[in-house]
Amino acid sequence: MTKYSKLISFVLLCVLTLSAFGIYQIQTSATLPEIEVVTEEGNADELDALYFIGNIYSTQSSGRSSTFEFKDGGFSYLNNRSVFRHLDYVYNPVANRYVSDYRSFMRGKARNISNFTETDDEIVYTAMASDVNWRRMYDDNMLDISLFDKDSEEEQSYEVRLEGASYHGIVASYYHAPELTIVTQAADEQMRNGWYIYTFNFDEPEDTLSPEVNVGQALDSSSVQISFSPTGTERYIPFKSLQPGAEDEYGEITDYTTDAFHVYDIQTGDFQEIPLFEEGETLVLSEDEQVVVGQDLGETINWHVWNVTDESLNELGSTDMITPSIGRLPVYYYNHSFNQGLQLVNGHVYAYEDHYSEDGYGRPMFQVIDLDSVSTDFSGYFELEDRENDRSTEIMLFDFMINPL
Amino acid sequence: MKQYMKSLLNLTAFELDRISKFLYTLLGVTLLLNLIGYIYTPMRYVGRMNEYMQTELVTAQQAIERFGSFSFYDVTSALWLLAPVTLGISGLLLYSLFIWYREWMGKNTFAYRLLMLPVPRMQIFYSKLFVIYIAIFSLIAVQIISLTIGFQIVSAIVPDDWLSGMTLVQALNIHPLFTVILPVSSFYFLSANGIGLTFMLVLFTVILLERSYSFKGLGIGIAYGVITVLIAVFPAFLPNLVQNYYLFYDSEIMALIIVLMTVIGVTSLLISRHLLNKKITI
Repeated sequence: MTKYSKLISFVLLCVLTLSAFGIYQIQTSATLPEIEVVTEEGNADELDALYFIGNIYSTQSSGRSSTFEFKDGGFSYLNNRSVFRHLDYVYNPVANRYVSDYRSFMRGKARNISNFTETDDEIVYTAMASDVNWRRMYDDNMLDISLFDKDSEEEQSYEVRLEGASYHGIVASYYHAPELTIVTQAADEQMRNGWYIYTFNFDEPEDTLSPEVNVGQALDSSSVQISFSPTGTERYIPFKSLQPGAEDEYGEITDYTTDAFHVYDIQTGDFQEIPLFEEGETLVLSEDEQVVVGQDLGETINWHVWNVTDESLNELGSTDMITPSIGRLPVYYYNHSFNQGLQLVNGHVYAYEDHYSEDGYGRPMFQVIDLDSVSTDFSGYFELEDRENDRSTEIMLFDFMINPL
Repeated sequence: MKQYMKSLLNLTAFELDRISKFLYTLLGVTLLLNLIGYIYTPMRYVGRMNEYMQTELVTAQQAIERFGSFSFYDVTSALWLLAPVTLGISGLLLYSLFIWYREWMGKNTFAYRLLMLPVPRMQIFYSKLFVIYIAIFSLIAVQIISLTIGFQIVSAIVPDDWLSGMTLVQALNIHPLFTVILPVSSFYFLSANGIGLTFMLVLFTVILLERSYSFKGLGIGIAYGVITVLIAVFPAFLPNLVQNYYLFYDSEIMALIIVLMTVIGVTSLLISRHLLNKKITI
């Protein structure tokens, strides 16, 4: 026995210490804080279509941070997933759902929101070659298009050459079977950045596409933004022309003012100008065949429907907003688009703001407005259940989408 | 089977005896340097805070705004804790070479007696591997004990109001080195040990190739080592090779790496067995 005593001692040291450390870790691991939806008005069920990825972190310690997702009206922390599931997790709500539901289709496809358009039956994938090989070459004009049937899980793929510009980046795509309208940001021959609209017909597929329109030229504006599209099924695409404002000491333009709003009709290929309100800011949203125009007066928004036939506004009514800025502040990660915090889905406007409480705590806040009644169906925010006793934890929302289906 | 296990245990206990002095030294140096770190690092912070408060006539809160609160992470990032870890890793790496070559040192080579023992020769291989792993895990265990005690020492030195409130596990969790070498994250810990075990098997194979074929064996061994590294890292470069970063899911790349490393490990064991049984001459 003596000759094994050293061996046994070392093995025991290892086994006991590692076991004790494991128990210590379990005992000292802080339970993750519970998050709740605080309803100020209406019903929290209105948030069932909301899907977002967020993060809670300690303001006192960088070591305390956990990611969670809000889906189907419930929360779940991502820490509880297996390593292999975690490896395949995409920090993008749309792509993550596709990877989970259509894993085979998603193989080899880029995972940005702008790469996908979804209807009840189909998913359309649109991406440049550089979106998957990560090489931004000047002559990257090859566009990959895939049409995926959700029921049969059949996929049609096309490779199309885009003409008229170079260095394309897909901004959005809009699908009305059999036509796909693609908006890209690209450089012209003088390397000036511009917006281009292409149309691809699945019934008559072509190898080469020429731009239907150069948006900047058509609107006579050097600075254009596109409305963020949560569905990709709208007929009218809102564009905002910007007027450059003051320059900073380095000659960079630091702020822009709205010059004009236009909507591009996918079916006719024409632009219509939406007049700006004299009082307050103008908001332009669209969904399916409808263009909604808001007069932003801060505390309230007066809603109108744009009549495309006689180019006039029909008033719907006004809504009191829960903060003077909710939905109207830019959300930094889509800097080429507007309406980042204001999305029109299924006749409801979802307004988002990273609001701060009077105590200074960040809390993602939402207001859901039903445009039929012009009333607030829900307003409220996400907060820690035990905020009273947890004053060092903050909630941050990474990315959100409203599932239209 | 019983006889097989007994002889393996005998060989392992024998190898452990031979490494013990070296291991005790490593453990001692680790504990001593850690202890200095647990006392010196927080004392320096406390001294700096006090000096600032006295010279600038400011409150502790203002001094914290200037220097930040103190966390155990500050201690784990100090050289007093990082140096022994580096020393332990490099020491055991060198010992992994020494554990074989010592048998051929001197006039009356011990390898002759060892290889003539009436036990399967692979038991010599396994006993050396086990001992290296016992040494690795002993260092890990002692480091854990040291950190647990050190956390209490640091908490006693720094006033509560000056501490950030970070727990020991949180401090280790965000540490780039300790989160890998200590069982803080099971994924990282298992990955590190899996890579380490495969590396040891390949290293032992390279040594046995050199022992079997001399200079020619060394060349073959180095080539074998390079090939195994290329095979192991190949999946990580697959997306680049196929010009599509989304063709394979990350879980598939990881699974492929695990499979390839297992193949490398098993191949190394088979080559080592062949060399030990058929090629190594006494």
